[in-house]
Amino acid sequence: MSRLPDADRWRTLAPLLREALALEPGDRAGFLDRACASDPRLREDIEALLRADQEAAGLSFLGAPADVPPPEDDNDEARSVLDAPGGSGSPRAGGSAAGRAIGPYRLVREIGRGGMGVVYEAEQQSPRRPVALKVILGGRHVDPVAVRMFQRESESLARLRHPSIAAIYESGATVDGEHFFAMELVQGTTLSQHLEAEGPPRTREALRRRLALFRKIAAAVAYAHQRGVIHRDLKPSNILVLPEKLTSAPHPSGSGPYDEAPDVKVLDFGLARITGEDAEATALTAFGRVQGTLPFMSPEQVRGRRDEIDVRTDVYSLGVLLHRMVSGQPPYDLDGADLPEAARIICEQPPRPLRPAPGARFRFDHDLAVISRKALEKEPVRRYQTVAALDEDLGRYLAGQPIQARPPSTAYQLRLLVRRHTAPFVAAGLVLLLVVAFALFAAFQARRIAAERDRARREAATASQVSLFLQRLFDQSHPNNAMGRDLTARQMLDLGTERIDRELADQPDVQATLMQTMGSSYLGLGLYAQAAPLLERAVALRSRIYGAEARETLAAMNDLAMNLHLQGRAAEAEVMYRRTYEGRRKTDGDDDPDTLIPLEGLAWVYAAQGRVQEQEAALRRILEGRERTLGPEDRGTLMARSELGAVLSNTGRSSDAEPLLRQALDGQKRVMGVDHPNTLGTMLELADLEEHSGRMREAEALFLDMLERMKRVLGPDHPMTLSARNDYATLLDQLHRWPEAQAILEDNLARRRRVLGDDHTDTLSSLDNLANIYSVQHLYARAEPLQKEALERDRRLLGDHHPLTLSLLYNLGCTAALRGDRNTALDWLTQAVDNGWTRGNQMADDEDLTTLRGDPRFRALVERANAAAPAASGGHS
Amino acid sequence: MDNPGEITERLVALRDGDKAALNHLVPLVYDRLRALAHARLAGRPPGSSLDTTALVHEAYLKLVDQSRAEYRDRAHFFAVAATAMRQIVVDRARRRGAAKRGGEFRLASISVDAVGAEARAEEILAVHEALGRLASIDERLVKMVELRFFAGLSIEEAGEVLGIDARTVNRDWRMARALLYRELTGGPSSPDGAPA
Repeated sequence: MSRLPDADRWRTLAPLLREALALEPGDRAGFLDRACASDPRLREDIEALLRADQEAAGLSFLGAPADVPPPEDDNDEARSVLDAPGGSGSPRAGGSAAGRAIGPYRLVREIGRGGMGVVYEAEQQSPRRPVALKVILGGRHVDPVAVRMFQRESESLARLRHPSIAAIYESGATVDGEHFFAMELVQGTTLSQHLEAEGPPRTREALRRRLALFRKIAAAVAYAHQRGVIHRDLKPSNILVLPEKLTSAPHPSGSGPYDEAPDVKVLDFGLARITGEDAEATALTAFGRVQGTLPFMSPEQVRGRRDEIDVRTDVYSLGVLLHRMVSGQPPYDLDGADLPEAARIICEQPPRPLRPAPGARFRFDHDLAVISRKALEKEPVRRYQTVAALDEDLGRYLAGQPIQARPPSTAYQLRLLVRRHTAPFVAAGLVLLLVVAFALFAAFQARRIAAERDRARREAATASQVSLFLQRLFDQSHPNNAMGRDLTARQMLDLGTERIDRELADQPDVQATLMQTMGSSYLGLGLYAQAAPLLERAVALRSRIYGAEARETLAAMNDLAMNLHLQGRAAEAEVMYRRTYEGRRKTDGDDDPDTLIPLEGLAWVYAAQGRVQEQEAALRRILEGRERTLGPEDRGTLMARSELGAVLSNTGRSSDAEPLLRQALDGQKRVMGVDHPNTLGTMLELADLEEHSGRMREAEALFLDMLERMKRVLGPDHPMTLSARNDYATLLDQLHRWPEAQAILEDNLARRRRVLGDDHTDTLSSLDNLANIYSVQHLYARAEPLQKEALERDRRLLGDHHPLTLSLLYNLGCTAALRGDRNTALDWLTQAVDNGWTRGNQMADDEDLTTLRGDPRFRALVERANAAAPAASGGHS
Repeated sequence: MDNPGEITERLVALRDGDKAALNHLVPLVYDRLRALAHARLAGRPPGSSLDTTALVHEAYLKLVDQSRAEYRDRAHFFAVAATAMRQIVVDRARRRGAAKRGGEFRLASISVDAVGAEARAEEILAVHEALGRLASIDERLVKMVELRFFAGLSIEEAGEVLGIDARTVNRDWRMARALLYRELTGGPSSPDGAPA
């Protein structure tokens, strides 16, 4: 949500803000008292912006010219910046800080330093007490978002009162923009030092003590979670172990295993990355940044998924801690791995099995390994859902009771195995899809085998060849065969394509089958450009082997048609769909489900070309056929109903459309679930219908729900997600919420350019829509280049005389006229008329062209247009 | 299109009041600036900085015929170049973004520094998008950010381009920065009641 004021508000606000900025900070309150006496909200706004100005300056926000920065040593940067704000010489020399005051604190000495901040021992004046003062360094490497997040939490932090949590007294910022945090000064050794000194447990007794120590930490974290504070950066250097002599106050949990262990203090709740020991292992910056210290970071943190961080993130870090505390080893070997490699390991590799340290005189029970494994699950939903649950399971384990955690299922492990051989984060689905596609293919073949004997033998042979080939492909991705590195799914497919050519030249039938399988896998992922050559070759090969109208050929041809269609090449798609359709009608009959599939494709093509009547006829045919052969609840039937509803809705027959869409949606929800792409598609149509019927609130609610689901299920770049966002922007446009619509359309255009290419019709419609949003906001300088780009493409793709080209020329004329550039406006309009624009009267009446009306050249142009119009000459006197 | 003449022609036309020259100037400068950026980055290690400030100044010297240029032409050129620079920088940031999302599976070649750069790229894109929203409120502030942040011009130079004095530039710049800061961080802290 934007926090920018609207234009009206800004007109009031700007002069006052400008004046306030000119004043000394001390004089501003008085000025605002006078200026905003009648409007407290205005004052609040100005004060917020003054604070933003101060914070932005302190953090050097926008301080360096924009560019992607060169690889340089961040730490050096941070240090040099540190020298500036305090003005008291280099704080590197510990002594020089002494005596300097920060807020109400007098510094005593420097006690620690990390990538982002310095920790001082300091003295608070009132109440007089020693404190640990952390100061975040100024400069552009400080993440304003992190500071904001922390300050939002500081209130809850102040309420944390627990013997195992170091209390936070205050947080604030100096006038120089230095942020500081005052907290309880604790004497103790860090847990890392403690673990180092004690070594890993080698006896059962030592293990019990270690687990007791861990449970104290877990109890502190669980307490904080109950109060809504997530630590985000749990690691041994953030945990202090108190000397035994200080262990006096009884622990709230009473007696029991806790008594065996020394007391602890967990530091830096919510204050991720202030005292990092290994700053260089963590990249720190503004958005989607990486927080925490790498080995203790959860997969969601490594991926920068800020919105996914919750209590289960701490569960994970505690899992790492547990692993290290009981076995002496971290769960992953990250030594020598660079950051992407380490990230990949954390996100994909299973943790190494829990083993006692060398020389230990015991073995771990299966249960402890299961507990550790469950805390370290990659997916938060599979972890312990709370730290308390983890702690309780450890309690059960120590008491010899059955634990709640279960080892992961085989299916899940299999999935992990597959994932390990795929590209980081992205392509996991591709291999699965390939496997699924193959399984479907095999099942399909099996059905055929039962039906036709002769062919069966040949196809069985093909199927087993295919199976073998895929098997070998998977083997190839095994680390032993890939020179120590995993292959990405994409590399695997590329390798596969290459090998299809090389190794199967003498088996064209197998070649064709594999090409189709892989082609449709790419197609399913929206990688149309990759799919195209494979499918084309599959069609060609099969035509040669089986004949142009054989089932096999038609199957590949249908995929090819779909791919062409999705690439926006409608005319070519139509030819392919029609050939498939006619071929199947001959072999399978009119109502056969296989026959109706290419007809459905034809319906899409008609839709893309605006051939509404043909589209409607095709859809009615499909619905009829499917209801007869498949029944009303079949997915395909539901789909046809939904699409027919969409056509009716889009041609203004809302009352006929609505029952069809609602029936389809109900059925789809029941049969396929709410998150199924088809269900979401119907939802989109219904949202559009609500919008067109003027029920904006209902429409917006549907849009928001649906967009959320689409982003999750299909991904933010999926063509359907983008279409839905585009429609939502249209709704916002109608509600005159232009800046919101603009932001969505700008993002959509960028995504469509990337995903679909510059020439795709959807990309072009994004250009148009965005240009319109700019124009309506009078941002002509922005609208114009987009219109010109659209014009250039339409000219090339559709020709000079196409109605779309003409209307773009006309729009460009309007934009220029609105800008007050009459010559350019006339220029564009002349071009429009020259190429066949005949709506002279519209031109004469168009409000956008008001500035041209006095111009004789414009009047001549209007007449010329009207004269060229066949009907207008008689109709208008 | 390679000679400095063409851009100079347009600048002169613009100086003489031909507003349409501006429309031709923007794509022209964008293309030439991008070519210069490309040449500058060629032969350097991947991930090298563009150094926008130097690039814009270099462009002015190379693309504008200095013997014919007048004082106002420099201002016009910088105004146009800043917009073009914004496009170039944003394009670069987008490409980084695309690489990170794994479009081409280039993840394996990203170094620690590159991860910092990625976040920087996201910041640039966020600023760019916020400017899109700011444009409907105050175009001059947008121009200011283009000049200072995207083209890396100094306060004085920005003042020259906009025809305002340095103090006004400074204040406008701070206003733009405060608005963007608040827009991007969701901050600063809600008013705590204490007078400033």
